[in-house]
Amino acid sequence: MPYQNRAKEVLTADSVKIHTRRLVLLSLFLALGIVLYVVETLFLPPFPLPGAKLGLTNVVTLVLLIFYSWRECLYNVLARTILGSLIVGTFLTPAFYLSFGGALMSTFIMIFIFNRFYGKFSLVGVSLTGSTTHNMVQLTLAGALIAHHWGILFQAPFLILIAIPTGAFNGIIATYLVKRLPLKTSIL
Amino acid sequence: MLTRYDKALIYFLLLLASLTFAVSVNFANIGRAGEFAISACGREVGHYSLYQSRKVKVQGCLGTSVVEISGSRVRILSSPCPRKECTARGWISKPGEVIVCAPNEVVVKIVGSDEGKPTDAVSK
Repeated sequence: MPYQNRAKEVLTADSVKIHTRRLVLLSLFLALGIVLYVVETLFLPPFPLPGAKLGLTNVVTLVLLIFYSWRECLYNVLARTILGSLIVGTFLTPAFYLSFGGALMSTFIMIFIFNRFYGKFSLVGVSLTGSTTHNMVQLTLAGALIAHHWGILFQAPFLILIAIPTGAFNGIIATYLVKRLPLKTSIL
Repeated sequence: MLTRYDKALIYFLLLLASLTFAVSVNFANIGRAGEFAISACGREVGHYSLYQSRKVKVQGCLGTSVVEISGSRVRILSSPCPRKECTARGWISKPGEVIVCAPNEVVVKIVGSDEGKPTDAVSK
């Protein structure tokens, strides 16, 4: 239903229920994303390669893409990155710009691939494009903002190699989640 | 679960990785490593020789990082950053190689000794 018509809509008990349900579920997804972000940043041991991590938060992005639309997905990513970095304590530092830029760009790419090519690519393929974009954008931003030197781009092959297993892993987790979650698209 | 296009994407990424690796190997060997530069928190700290084993203390944004030079290689020995990714990076020795510590904003990069000078001849 278009946004401007919503005010005229008669608030029946059912529509209130659906709106509340949607609000609560989206908040839960946001909370899930933030918790994964914080846990991954603070508690998981780092890979022996700078900038590489599992990217479990991407699972939330993929699940939202399936159950909702690109809009909810993008809002989730924006809020999650900002709130997560506030909790971790990196807000407005170079590390924040790296993670913000990487998350935003990879989300745009994943939304594009999902809307145009889902069916040809499975969730694993969508996740792979996202993880690779994330790593490449982070590397470029790190070269521009922190190192001021393009020698850092020599790490690109290792970051691409790391992006393949992590992206596939997240895609597989998201596939199972979508199968098992007791959600129906009609009542979201 | 994997479709045909997924597999094609994986092969494409592997190809991309090996291509960029080939390019980086070919370009990383230009020039001979002679010295390296340290910058911290946005300013240049200085240039140091690779052939003199020593430890350098660098004041970063968070605290003091220790850079160790030994056997014409450099590494970050200790750092106040939370995830210790810069110390996990290990030794670097080739021109163009960089260690970046994002939280402490310490950058160690190796500069070729004849960078910027025209070369008469190169033999390998």
